[in-house]
Amino acid sequence: MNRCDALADALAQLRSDYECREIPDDRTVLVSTGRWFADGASVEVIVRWDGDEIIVSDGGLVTGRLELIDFHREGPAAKDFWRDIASDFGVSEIDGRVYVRATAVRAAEAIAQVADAVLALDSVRHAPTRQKVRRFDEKVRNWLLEEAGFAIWDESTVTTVSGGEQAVTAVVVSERGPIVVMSAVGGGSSQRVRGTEHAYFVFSQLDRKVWPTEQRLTVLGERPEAWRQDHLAILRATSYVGSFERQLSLASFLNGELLPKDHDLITFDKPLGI
Amino acid sequence: MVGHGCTERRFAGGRWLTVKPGLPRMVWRPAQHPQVAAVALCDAIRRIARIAQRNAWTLAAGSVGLRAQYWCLGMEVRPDGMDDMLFRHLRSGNAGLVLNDPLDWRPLTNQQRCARGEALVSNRTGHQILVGMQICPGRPWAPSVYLRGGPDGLMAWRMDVRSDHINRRTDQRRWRRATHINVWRDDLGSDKHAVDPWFPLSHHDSVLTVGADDYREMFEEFCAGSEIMLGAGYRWTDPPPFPTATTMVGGGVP
Repeated sequence: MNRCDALADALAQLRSDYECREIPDDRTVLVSTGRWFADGASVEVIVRWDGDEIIVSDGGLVTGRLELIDFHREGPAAKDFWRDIASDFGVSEIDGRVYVRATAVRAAEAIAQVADAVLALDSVRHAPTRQKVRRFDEKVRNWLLEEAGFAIWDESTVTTVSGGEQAVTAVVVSERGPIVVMSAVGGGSSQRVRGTEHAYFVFSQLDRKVWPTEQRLTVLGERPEAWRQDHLAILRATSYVGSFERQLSLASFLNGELLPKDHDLITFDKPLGI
Repeated sequence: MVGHGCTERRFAGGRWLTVKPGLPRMVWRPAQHPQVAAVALCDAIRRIARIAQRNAWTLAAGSVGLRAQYWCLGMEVRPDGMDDMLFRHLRSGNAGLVLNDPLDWRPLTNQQRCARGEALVSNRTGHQILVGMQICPGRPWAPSVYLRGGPDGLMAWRMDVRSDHINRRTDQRRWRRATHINVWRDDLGSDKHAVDPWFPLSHHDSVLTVGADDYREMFEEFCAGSEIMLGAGYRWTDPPPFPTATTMVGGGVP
């Protein structure tokens, strides 16, 4: 008995994952490729005969999956990843569909080529996007206005100690005076470093007599636990530091109900209204 | 009077709490939330009313705002708009979901290759909730219909029509070109665990021919199954027509 015989059933099961099905267009079929995305959806390709050739396409599968989660691949990193992966796998793209043309005898290769490319291209969802960084500012401002119910200055700029104008995320109007809010998004380690540096740079330029620490707030983006403790310590030296995932604490700080001495609004837990 | 301008009236099932006339009232059953003080609930009602007014959300009188429960229980509302608690509330059928607008189909552009229509659903959760449908031109027989929390939010559940799926991280169940529903779980997110549709559907998974009437039927059956009432302002609008993709050397790319 060959050692591989022990896997005969498993291999038969894998082969059964390849399946062809007719679809309404009489030149075209839908093929299951035996490949699956991480979330459990399957990779299917569409094969169309065009004379002696075939066109194998994903039918916009990856594009549709990315659009469904509102991922826009126009950001520089995602765009580069997409282009490089498509180039490495030798696939082309038109109107959001990834495809290759091949002779009919190369059908197996072409199906595998597109299916493998599709799996790799789907991973661009993990690439950082410029839009996400920009939108976190908007999220914070929107939350301040619409949900937390604070008024903010029309102009999001403050005067620095040297007399210059500095853009900030928002300036909140509160009973204890205006509060400068800086947002720092934290999708990746390099973003967290840049966010730390930028918030620190901005707050370092403000006069402490005009803007005491109690009137400064840094709001961190996703996953506050991912921020390095030494970076948080740097930020806490110049402002109170909270997380967008802990909105109750942010609101309590802005209302003057929560002013911990260590400037830490992330681990200090005091629910509102109780 | 329980303080903070909040009045309390007892009735057989619990107590009504009202901040002031015109604002939503909340049914408070102390047995359900023994650790929550009435004053805290009044504060939560006030906050919910303020958000609702700013966002023109509908809060039915007498409803228990889910966001009030979050606040009262000292829980944070997730910024991405979905978690187990909200999912359970939406699934319970007590969220008062009403669709009063037609789906707003976004135009197809170089950046948007799939047609997607969305509309806000008024509700009594205190969250922004949207219902939507996405149809991609290369796979018109397999649309997705979903309910999600807010315009940037994650999906509570999503019906994938005539699609394959495997529950890799849970029970290993497989769907082979069969309609299934991906449901939210805090430990898995919005698309890794699927279940069979819990409501009747008219379409046949084996028939791939689709038209606007089929989309309408799928969407409205999804709404019915998701306990979304179709209000007077709702009417069906067809998705935009799809362009055909053509390669440089001729031949349409499917």
